[in-house]
Amino acid sequence: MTCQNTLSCLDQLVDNELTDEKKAQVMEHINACDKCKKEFEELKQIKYLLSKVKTNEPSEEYWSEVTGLINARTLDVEPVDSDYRSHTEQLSIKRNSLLRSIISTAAALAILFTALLLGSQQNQVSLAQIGTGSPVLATADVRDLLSSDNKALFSANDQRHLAQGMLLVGIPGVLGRFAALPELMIITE
Amino acid sequence: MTKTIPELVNSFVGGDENAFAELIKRFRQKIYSIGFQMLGNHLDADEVVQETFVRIFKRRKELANVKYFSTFLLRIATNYSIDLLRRKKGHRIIAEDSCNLPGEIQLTLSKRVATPSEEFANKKLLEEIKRALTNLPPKQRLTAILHDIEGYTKSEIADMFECPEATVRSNLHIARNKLRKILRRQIKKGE
Repeated sequence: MTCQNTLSCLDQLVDNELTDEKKAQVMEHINACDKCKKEFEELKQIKYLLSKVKTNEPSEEYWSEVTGLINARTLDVEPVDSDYRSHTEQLSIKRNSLLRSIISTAAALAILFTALLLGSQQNQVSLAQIGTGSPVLATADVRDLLSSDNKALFSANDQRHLAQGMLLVGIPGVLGRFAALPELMIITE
Repeated sequence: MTKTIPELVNSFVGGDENAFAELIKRFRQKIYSIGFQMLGNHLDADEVVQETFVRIFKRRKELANVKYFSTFLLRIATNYSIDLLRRKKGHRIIAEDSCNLPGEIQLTLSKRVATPSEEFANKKLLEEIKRALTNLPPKQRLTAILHDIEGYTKSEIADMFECPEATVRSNLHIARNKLRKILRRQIKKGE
């Protein structure tokens, strides 16, 4: 049993959800591993402490008052249709829906912006900028690159990729494929 | 003879006010406790209780198609608690006792009787854990409260939240880990 396997079972262990066999395996590892033992003890502490959190029961007088208030609030209230949603639930649904729309739109705009930015940079970066180690972006299509004197800037491996119609370009954080230049592959470093 | 919950629900749907009063009596403490643990004070817990039962009254037509009344009721209560918590965002609940923890805290997990100093340390840790709970996001907080404080099963919580059980497991795992880190920091601070 590895530490990783053990740690992934700790919640089930403290919740007593493991089979006897699995529990024995996990406990065997815990008893032999100080790191996992510490994690296990801490988790047991948390569960134990939470089990000790109690809420005092209000007095009978309070409950009489509350029941009276509830009855007053429901007096002459007609039941609503089954598709009824309370105001806060409706707001919650609307808010979630709006949030999802905003996130989707933002993500789409970010992708579009990145694509446009890369597209514009493609025509601005010269081949001379293609050096070793620094992030580079191809300026033209692969055939031009192959026929140019800049070929020497590429390693043997890169040249092989160029010959296959694939140019590997190191741009941190960008992974994509240009629609305009289908043979050009952008990968992360 | 004491009526069962399904019998009471049937009577309630049919317009029996006494059945409604009996349902309130049987579930009020559960609702109050969830509201109190989520929001940390009596006034808000009181609001959760009242609003939950008013809503169940308004939605009583739906009860004819509901499998478990308690799950349906608790779903209304937990949703309202989360809404209320979000509305009150920024008004964090501060525990009364804010002393730092002593460094050599070892919680008594064995069956033996705790010494007075251990009892004291446990009490301090209990205050810290209650405070730490208020730092969790609503869903994680509620999952920890329902599972580890109120004793609901993961399956029951999944029904309440209308989500897969895996989501409940994940929320509980994250909540416990966060509580563990907060507690660890507090213990270190006390050293």
